[in-house]
Amino acid sequence: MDNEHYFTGEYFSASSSVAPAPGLDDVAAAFGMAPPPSWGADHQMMVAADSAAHFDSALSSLVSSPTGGGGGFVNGGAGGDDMTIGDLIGRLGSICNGASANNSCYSTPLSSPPRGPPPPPPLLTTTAFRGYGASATLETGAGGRLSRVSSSKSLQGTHPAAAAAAAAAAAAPLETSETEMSPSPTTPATTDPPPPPKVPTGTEGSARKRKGSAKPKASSSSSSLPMATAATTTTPKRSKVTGGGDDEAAEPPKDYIHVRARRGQATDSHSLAERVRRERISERMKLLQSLVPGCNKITGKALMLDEIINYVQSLQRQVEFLSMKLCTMNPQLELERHYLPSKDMSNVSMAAYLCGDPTTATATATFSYAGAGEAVGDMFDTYNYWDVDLQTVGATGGGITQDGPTTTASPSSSSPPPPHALLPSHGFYGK
Amino acid sequence: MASDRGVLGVQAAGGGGGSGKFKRVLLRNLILGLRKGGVASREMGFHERKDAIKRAADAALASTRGAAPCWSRSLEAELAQQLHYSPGPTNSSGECCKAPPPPTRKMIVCKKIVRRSLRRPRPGNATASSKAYGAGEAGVLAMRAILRKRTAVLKEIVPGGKALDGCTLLGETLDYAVSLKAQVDVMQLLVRALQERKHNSTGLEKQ
Repeated sequence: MDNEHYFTGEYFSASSSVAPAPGLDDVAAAFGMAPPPSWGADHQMMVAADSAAHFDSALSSLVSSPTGGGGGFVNGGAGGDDMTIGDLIGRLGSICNGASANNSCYSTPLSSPPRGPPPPPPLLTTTAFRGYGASATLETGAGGRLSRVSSSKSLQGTHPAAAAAAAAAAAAPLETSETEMSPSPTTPATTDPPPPPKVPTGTEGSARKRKGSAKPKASSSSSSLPMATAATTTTPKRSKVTGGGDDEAAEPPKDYIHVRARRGQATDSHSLAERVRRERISERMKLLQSLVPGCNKITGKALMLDEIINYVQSLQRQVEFLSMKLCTMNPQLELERHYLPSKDMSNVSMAAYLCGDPTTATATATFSYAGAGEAVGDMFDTYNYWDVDLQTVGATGGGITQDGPTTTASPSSSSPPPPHALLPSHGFYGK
Repeated sequence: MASDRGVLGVQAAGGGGGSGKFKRVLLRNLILGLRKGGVASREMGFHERKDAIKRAADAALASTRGAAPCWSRSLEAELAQQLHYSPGPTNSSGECCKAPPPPTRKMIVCKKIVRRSLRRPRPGNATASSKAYGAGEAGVLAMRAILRKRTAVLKEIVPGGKALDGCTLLGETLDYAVSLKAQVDVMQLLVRALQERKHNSTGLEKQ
């Protein structure tokens, strides 16, 4: 039904190659964009802070193990990123591992268009996830559209700790894990996963890429209810179970979402699908509620939507106002006269944004652009106005991390352009 | 070292606006974009310059965020369309503009078909709207109309939201809102830095 291309998407499939540069070249060629930096360290911090509250020790053992396995692919963010994966694996394992769990699973084929063959990049993730059998299932639907979980594959080679993981095989975790899986495979597999903005640990569910761990929180309350009803699934369900509990391995690898019907509710496939959809919407609303300031007390979709609209509109207006302010602060145009047109830009594969977009940042692209920038910089008698340097900005503005000054290697003179300094091993562009 | 950076990253996370790393990359891309926009700033007029800066900021945001979310791709496509000319000398840049297409007609049609089939009231399975009619609950219908209106507004606000359904639209809104907040923070930082520099330079001149 819904194509969950939320976080994985084409980015994941396009850029999740082993070597960051060639993969990113494709991305840059296609989209002309800077690959988002690796979020390992930040993510690790944030997730570690929250993990203890929610996951078993079994899961923590899960987490510690992949740092070795996924190390080849993850750029220092293995531990943190795999926490969310550990959570997902745990849930999958608990859902599909136990015979009892499988007995009461009710599969609902969602009427989404069938998946094509999984794109080549999933090989990367499968190797990264070698320890997790369940993760192989994630990649059956990869290519970004992880709206399905195949139960059979998850059984094979499921980490034993995952079986011990808590959480009944309730519908809610399944649905949340379905969307959780969308962000998670990207994080360890790609060397520079999409940036998960971090919110202070106080506001829990609002970080984007932390939705993998945030969603369990949002759904834990809802999952407690299905847990109570899980055991009392109506008997007609059991008869409908495909494959039974014994030969889970023999179950045909279908891409179904396993939804547990609650007691006393309609079990029609349509109403189930609608229920899945409704629950997804309510999850998202909860996350948005934590994001938009001052919306804790607002209940109801309509009012929440109103607040969200106001918030986004105010942000857009702020951007407009700030761009106006920047415009007034721009000095007059003498500087720009010296700017060389893009004779060096032919090396760079960039989308045409303004005039040959410099905002692309593949490894190669940055190098050649830096060359161009340097040539331009040397031409200047006066300094380039925009040669602000992250250093100065980082020193003055406290909103960005304080290791700003260390990132730029040119503290004294202003002529060497920052891009050079930023390139080496800062983690912005993968390796 | 990594843990230090991690800690700093956590501390630097300004109120739901994204992590420090994201903002740093965003700032870098923004500065690059503004610098590159030297051609654009030769234009006369305050208004055009402001638009050029805004476009640079949006381009930086979309490129920093990557191709993962739908709004990012749509934003890039919009920006590419707004260019009067394509200065890229090679063909590849022309293809780059078109590369991330909006959802194709087939996809949209498929989605519509699926949605229609789900919405059609099955015999014996009274949908909520028919129940509302039966029960005479006009309030429910009014509420639904409000929701529909507001969803439409949201679709217009979020780039590329028109082709999304309610659930993914909310997800995209979440992502977009966080990115916008990060963009605002970065731009404020830049403004502050430039103001300080101006003050410093004027102070030195006076001496």
